[in-house]
Amino acid sequence: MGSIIKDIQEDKVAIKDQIGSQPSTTVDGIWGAIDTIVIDEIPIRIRERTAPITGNAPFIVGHPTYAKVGIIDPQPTVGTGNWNSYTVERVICPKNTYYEYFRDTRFKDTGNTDATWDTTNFKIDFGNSTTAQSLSIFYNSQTVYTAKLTATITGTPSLFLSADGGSNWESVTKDVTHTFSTTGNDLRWKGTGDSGDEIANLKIEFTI
Amino acid sequence: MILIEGLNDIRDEISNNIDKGQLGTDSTAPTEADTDLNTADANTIQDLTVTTTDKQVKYTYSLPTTAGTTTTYREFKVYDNSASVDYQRIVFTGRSFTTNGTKEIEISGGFFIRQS
Repeated sequence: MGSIIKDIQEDKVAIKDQIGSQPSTTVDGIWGAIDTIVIDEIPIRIRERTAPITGNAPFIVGHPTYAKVGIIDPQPTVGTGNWNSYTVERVICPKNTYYEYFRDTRFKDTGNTDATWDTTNFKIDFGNSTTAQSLSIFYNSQTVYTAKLTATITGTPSLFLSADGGSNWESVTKDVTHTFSTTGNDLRWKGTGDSGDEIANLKIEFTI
Repeated sequence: MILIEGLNDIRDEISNNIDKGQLGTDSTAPTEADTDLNTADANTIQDLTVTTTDKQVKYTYSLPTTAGTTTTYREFKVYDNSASVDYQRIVFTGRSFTTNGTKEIEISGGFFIRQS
């Protein structure tokens, strides 16, 4: 979306030139302040779910199979039935850059996170020997080759990235581009730490 | 110093404008000069569900199994329908879809507004 330049403020230098007198200059103040507003595109996730053909199928209004009598057994009825669970099929990061500002738990891997994913203070807050781990932050057909993690760090949490969906974790250093030993198409991040360690304003730039 | 109040006002401008999503079939990488999907499918136009949190806008798009076209989708956009202004276009490795099949597609994304 690009950046928006707003609120540019300038004060002009006042110069007095008095006839018959030495010119005098009075500097009232020179301020040139440019505040830049940035709009980050948070990752786009594509999920799919399917309706079962047999069993407790959902009633789908207007569907030639799921709203028609005599095709699916048992017959789907309005208000009953269940879809299969959603599966993540694609995660796209515009400009191959992942931003995590901890405003929500959208990319929190709940099953592998026992650190506090703090959406009130917008950070990961580690307790002793705890872990914060993400779900897929990039998942498409392309291979991830390198990644650079930047963040606001408190303390000394350990940082890891995986390009193969969490099968292999590789230690990374903040602000240093990491070349994956094990490549893949499913990028995730992980942090481990102790009480007092924190992660905020996480960004991961990667190449495919 | 840009205040959070001002950033959230910009957030609200975006959240109040984007109201539709649409899929297409082209895989050409997006550029900021894009003004539409390259190969749009009119049968995929759906309302967005838009929510806001501090300095963040999130949207969710759902394509029901009874909509769309039997094809492979590779691009997606969110836009302001009344103003005909496109806000975002992405491409992805294709996902097949069958109208009146068994599958629904859900796409979620958003924007975070901050001071540089």
